[in-house]
Amino acid sequence: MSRARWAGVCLLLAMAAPLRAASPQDEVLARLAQGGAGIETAQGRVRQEKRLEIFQDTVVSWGRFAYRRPDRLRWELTDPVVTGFAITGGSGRRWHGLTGKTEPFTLESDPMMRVIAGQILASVRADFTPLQKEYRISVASETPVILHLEPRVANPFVERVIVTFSKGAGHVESVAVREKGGDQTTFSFSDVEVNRPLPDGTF
Amino acid sequence: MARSDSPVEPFLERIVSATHRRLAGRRALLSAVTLGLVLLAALVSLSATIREDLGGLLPDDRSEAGRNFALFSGTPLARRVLVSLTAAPGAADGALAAAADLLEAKLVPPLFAPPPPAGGPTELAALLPRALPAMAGPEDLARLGAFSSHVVRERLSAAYALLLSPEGLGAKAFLRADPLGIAGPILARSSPIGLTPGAGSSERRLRGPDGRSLLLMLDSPVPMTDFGQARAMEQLLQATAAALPAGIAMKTVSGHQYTLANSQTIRKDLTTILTLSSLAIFAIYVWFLRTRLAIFVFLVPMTVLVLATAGVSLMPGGVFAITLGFGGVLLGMADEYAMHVFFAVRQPGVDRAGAVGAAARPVVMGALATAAAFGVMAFSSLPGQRQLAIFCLIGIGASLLLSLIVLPHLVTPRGMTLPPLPRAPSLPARVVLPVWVALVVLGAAGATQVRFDDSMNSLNHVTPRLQIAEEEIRERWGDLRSRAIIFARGATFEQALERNEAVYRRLAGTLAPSELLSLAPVFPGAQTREARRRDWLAFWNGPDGARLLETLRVEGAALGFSAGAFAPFVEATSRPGPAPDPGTLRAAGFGGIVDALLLPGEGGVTLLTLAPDDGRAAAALAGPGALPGIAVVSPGSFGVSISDALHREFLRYLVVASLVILGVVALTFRGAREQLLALVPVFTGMLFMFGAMGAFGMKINLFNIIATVLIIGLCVDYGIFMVSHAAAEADPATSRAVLVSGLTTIAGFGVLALAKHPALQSLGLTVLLGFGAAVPAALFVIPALTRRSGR
Repeated sequence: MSRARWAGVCLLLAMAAPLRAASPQDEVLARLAQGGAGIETAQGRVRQEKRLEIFQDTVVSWGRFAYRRPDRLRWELTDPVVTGFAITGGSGRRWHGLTGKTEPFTLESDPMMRVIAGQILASVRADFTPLQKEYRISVASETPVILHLEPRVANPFVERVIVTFSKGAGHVESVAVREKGGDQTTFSFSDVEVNRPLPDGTF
Repeated sequence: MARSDSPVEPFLERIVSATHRRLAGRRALLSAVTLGLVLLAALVSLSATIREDLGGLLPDDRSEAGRNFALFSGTPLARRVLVSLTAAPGAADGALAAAADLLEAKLVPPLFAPPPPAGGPTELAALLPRALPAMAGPEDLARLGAFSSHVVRERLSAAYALLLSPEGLGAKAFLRADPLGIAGPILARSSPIGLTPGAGSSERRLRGPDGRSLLLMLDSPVPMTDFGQARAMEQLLQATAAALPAGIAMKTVSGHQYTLANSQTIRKDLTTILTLSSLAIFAIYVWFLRTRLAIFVFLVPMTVLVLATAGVSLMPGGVFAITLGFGGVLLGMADEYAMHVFFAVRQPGVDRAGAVGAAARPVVMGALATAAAFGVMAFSSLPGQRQLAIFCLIGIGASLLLSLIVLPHLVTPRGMTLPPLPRAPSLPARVVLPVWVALVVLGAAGATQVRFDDSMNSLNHVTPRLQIAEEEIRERWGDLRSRAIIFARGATFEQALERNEAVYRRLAGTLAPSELLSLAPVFPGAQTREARRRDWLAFWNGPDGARLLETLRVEGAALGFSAGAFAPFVEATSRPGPAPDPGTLRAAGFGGIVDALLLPGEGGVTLLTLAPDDGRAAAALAGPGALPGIAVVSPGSFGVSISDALHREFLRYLVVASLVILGVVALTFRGAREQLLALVPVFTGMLFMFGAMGAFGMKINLFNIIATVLIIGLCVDYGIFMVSHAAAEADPATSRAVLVSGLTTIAGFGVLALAKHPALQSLGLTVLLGFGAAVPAALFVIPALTRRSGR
């Protein structure tokens, strides 16, 4: 192709770009983000189901979560083990019932916690746009909304994250983290209360 | 005019007089040939490769200092750049990490090394089945043998809880490979800072406990002494710092910055000094020579600069910028031959050819003495000093030829009536001699107190910015830059491993394992690896091992772990994989530390061990039964080895230069009295310089050696000139020449005392002291002693 033709094609593409219509996927994400924008606080129960090769059976744990805009999160399991963390911004504390120890940490210094907290925050805010840098997000279903998140760069742990929203798309119903090798962890949220006051000292 | 019976005198006088007569009336031709030569030399100089690194000031011989510098310069640690980031109270969350990300994205090859390959828990887990059998020593196996079922249950419960926690995602592979937590204590004793698994770039980052600070450790392929690339690195660092998120402050420290700070200061100083000294010298010429023709005397050192630069440009390996800088200053002072000839030929009523011939003997012998003194530097262990010696030798030769052959025709136009010269200054012997004796005695007393500099501070110009950054980083992160480095070199990788392990074993007797950073605990020699592997298999095949495996199975099942939960670990107890190699360590996220401690090279491999730089490591390795292929380099003791090298070099200069000038003086004057008189300026200048240095606590450094050479080389000329014209008071030409050239030297070097760089300042002060005493000694003491002995 001659240089002039290339130039012509490039020009057409450049002119066409701004005219490109937003994809259905973008529209769904924008709608979810818009809905999430109204969430000031959220709290509820968490059911964690681990189907791991290392365990004989599926292990189910129970716990709670609490969120306050913009960046406060408490996530804890209370049965059968006690463990959890609370963050405000980039730093926080975590605890393990077995050792009885609570220790401070920063998201910057703990890449694993950064990933986990990022995913949980996105889930409770119902806003996945901040994760678009790290994941390719596709809409698997619009009713109910189901998102598939695949790591953009090969990830040693996560193969795919499946996020299922409640029917009214008001909050996330479950998040399934599928690992390489077939292991899967699913978090299901219930009794979710949005924009209810949270007691002081939650975080 | 007093004459000696030197055999060289008639020959020289005849040759120089005859040459002058032959060239008389060919002023235009002489000027054209000289100009042509200068233009040619300028063209050659322009093609020179200028080396802006400081390699010229580092020893390249087999001395301890030379070896240490070469070894240290070859390590990645010498080229490491420390970047300290601090977040202000109002800075946004994540700004610190964003700043570190930005720096890592911008500070990339070719000026900075790429980040080590990323690794993580999965890679570390893959490494463990290979690493545990090679790392677990008898004490680890004994500890395992003592594990009760209660301990096993406790550890598995902790593993279970961890798997259910948010961090469980990353810990799973690690727990499968090491459910009993064997690796923890082994890794902990392997290193205090380096051997913690990192996810790629995080291995290069240290985080402050307050979450408001971060240290980024970046490596660079740029040699620490490369000025040109150090400048490019600094520009890139500054540009990146300007783009950091708001509220993030950045401070950096590296060896490159020291190189840059020193080179830039020396450059600025030399520019100022050359300008000021040229103006001062020109003013002295105008004042004392009082003719427009003095411009030709002024042009002699300038011409010589161009010729000497062309000379060293033809040498292989490039021209050190430092040679041109210092050579320029040194040769700028070497105007005394031109001065002597100028005053000799401009005396009213003299036969000019005869006057040039008469001036030839002291001028040539003086040049010979100066060349000999500078020539001693040609045997220096510093390449820069050797090149400087050659530069000065070419310059002295060129100055001699120009002064004797070209200059007399340019400063004495035919038919011109020359004004009479004013009388030289004179002081009575009864005043001069007691003062001189007192100065000599005081100088001798002070000289006994002078010491050699062993701190390198005299060579180092530290800018306030660098000093603040260095202090902040030391305060916040500890002394990361000062560590003794033990080099274990082997012809093969295996031999290097064995020697490195021998070093570790020897040091472990004196230092705590947490004080050492070494690959030896993870990566011992083949013999130890094989022995550990045997012990490992014997343990797991033995009763303790079998019991422990059974307990693991039973307790694991009771807690809900699957039958194959710990398959990687169980597999390693019966069929351990091969010991890890550098490749697997890099893949597991230890690339940074492996590359810092393993130096492949031509004809062998070197492994490094880092230890506190407090002398304990050197002492432990220096005991009886010295290990082969081992070298210890301690930044803290660099100063000591440099001081030793300086001491030796200085004494060699002093002895050889003294012998050489004694030889030249003996060749010039046959009488012992004249020989001693000729040495009065050198003797007085040196004694006064060292006496004052001792009295004021100034230490001898590298640059003072140059000052010593300069004083010996130039001041002996004054002695030769003055003694050659014993009745100097009746011979104003000689005393005028000595006075003016002495003043120009003092003015030229006196300006150095204004330098910002401590080394240049020290050089200026010492030369000022030496010449400040030598010139009056030549002008007043020699005539006074001559009058006294002649009475």
